[in-house]
Amino acid sequence: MKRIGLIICSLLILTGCWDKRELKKIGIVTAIGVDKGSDPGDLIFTAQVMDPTALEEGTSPEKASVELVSSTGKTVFEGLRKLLQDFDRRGYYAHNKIIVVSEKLAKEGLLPVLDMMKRSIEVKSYVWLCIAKGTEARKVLGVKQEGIENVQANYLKGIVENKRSNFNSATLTMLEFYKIVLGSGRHPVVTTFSIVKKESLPVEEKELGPVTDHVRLSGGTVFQKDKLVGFLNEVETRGYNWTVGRAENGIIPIPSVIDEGKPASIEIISTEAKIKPEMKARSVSFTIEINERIVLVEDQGLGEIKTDQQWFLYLEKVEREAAKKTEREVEKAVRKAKELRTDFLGLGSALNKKYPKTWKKMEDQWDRELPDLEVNVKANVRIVGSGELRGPLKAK
Amino acid sequence: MERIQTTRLTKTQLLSMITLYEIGSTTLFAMGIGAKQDAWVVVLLAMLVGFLLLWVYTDIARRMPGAGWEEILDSVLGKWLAAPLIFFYACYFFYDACLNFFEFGEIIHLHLLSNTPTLVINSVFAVTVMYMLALGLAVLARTSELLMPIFLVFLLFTLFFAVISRHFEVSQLLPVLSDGMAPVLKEVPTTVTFPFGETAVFLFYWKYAERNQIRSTAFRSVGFAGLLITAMQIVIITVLGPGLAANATLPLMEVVLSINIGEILTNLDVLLVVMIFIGGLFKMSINYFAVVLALSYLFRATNRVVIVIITGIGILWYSMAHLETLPRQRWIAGKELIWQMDHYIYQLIPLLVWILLVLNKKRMAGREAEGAS
Repeated sequence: MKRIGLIICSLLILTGCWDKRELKKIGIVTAIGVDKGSDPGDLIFTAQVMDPTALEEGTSPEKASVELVSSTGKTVFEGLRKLLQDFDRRGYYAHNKIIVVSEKLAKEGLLPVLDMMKRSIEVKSYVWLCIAKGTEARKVLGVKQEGIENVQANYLKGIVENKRSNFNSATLTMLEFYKIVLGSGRHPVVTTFSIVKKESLPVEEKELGPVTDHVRLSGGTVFQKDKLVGFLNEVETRGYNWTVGRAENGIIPIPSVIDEGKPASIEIISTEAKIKPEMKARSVSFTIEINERIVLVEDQGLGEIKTDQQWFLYLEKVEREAAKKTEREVEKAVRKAKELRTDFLGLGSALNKKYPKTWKKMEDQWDRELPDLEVNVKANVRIVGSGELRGPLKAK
Repeated sequence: MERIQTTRLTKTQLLSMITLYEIGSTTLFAMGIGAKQDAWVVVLLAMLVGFLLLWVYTDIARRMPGAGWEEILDSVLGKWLAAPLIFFYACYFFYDACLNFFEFGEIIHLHLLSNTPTLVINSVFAVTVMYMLALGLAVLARTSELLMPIFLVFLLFTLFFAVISRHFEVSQLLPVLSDGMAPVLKEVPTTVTFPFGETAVFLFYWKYAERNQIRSTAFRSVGFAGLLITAMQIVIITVLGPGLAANATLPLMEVVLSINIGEILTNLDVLLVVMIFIGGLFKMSINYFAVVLALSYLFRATNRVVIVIITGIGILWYSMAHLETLPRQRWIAGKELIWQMDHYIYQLIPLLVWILLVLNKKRMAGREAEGAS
């Protein structure tokens, strides 16, 4: 009896809901944007808050699925709390997918902006870190999504994750950014959004008119430590992705080897990249070696392949074309790194890993001396097949 | 008294107690991070040094079977020297228990139950531990045996998920030993004292274990714990990089929160919280019970429950009144209140006692030989 009394007492005393966060009382934030305010030193914090009622079945499709709220503050956290002055639900950030920072703010350094998010236990470090190129972060969060997702942030996250099958863009999570910035010998390349105009056709039933804004994931933003210094175009970004081993999958257009002047495309199956530093008498040189496995997925040229030998030789030529193309793309990225004097490819980091003593000596003037470095590129391509066709076809 | 004296620790119980005690609060730190990416080398070296200490500690048990540390001190050093020393040992483990106790209460307060006052969390924790220890060593041992598999499964799951997640990058461990051994060796002493040298606490417990099992079990469990701690450091460094690992308040929490496997396995902090709780519970309870053993020997107490309650209230009071906040606790734990060398002293005194024991035996043997001739 005494024991039962004790148990009942503990049930009353030891359970509690001090720390409850009711679903009905919180606003689930799906994306965060930070911009520079109009007054110097001001930041504009923007939160995209999901409205779950809009996602219920039977609600009118006109109701927006997210709310966009902004406020200005000296610090990010001040802005975040000021939101509550004109928004009714306290934000819950654990489901946040994406952080967008404007180009202007990123030029002044990202570490101070991110400090609050890294300290917070709610904002997870695997969120995507993105830069709004040529526009404001809140505008990126405010573009009506074109895709299938109901929540705009999920749409943004979707196109970031599509990078897996399209390596024209660089992607980076907050944790990866920290790792690169706090480590030595490499600078980060961050996910980049830009806004493009796009014409819509009648079937899309857009109310905004025939030409609307769209978000596009394209290229990458180069940082010198945590400060923005430049942008990569798509070719340079591909070169970057090759070098850092992030070209998981994607299509490379090459000229057809069977029918001159026609295009063909190959798909990457897997890649592996190695940066090999070599010590010379006075300087160091690098060889960027890329091993890729590819498949021929398209050849618009017309022609005929009769024997296995022809098939083999045809694919061997494709291999050579692909290697040439890869090398050219990587060289473009190397040129860009030298031009920006920012080692975003991680040459220094590779040197540190192999010759830490040499790196210690060169670390300080590394970026300045980057243009004088000798960098060779070598691509080893293995083609593993040509899809369901042996070769191209020809009408008789 | 009688009942507790007859308590015997089985092999698994001793194994789980030592393993949990060793891993204990290491889940809260990046061990040896002063050596940057070579932190795991520090842990391995510290473990080897820890083995030397452990060999001495277990050899004392072999030479003085059936005697607790308090009795050994008494018989080797004599009553007048032993009494204050036993008291100092009680203080040391009391202090250690306070640090553990406070840490766990505070972390749960900061990261999980931010609206619940620390006093409530700590009191609930303290009352539970006091109840457990009032029931005697057997309950502590059996609880550790029971919770150890849970702890291990959670730890291994955490490590496994971290390894298969996106942010695992082995290259963060390179270059190995780029600055030579100097930074590593500099970190070794502090890593020896925490957690490996802390096995000194088991000098109080050897008498409850089967004599011939002590050494093999102790080495096995410290080795096992050491390897797990090394694996933890490797995962912390590969996932966070040395820069962030050195600056995170709870590095392993950062690691756990960075895990995102297919949008399903995310927000796994609960795994870590369970680990922190179990580890903390045993680290603290084993220190706490050593204090109880020392004090009840010193004061010839017949009723151990009274000592348990007094010590428990003492721990609660001390950690609330003196440690105040986590940063203060971290600072004090290494440096301020107690002399910086205290860890070394308390962990090296057994070495001294061991030398005395060896010399004593030689002298005895010499005397016997003389007597015979």
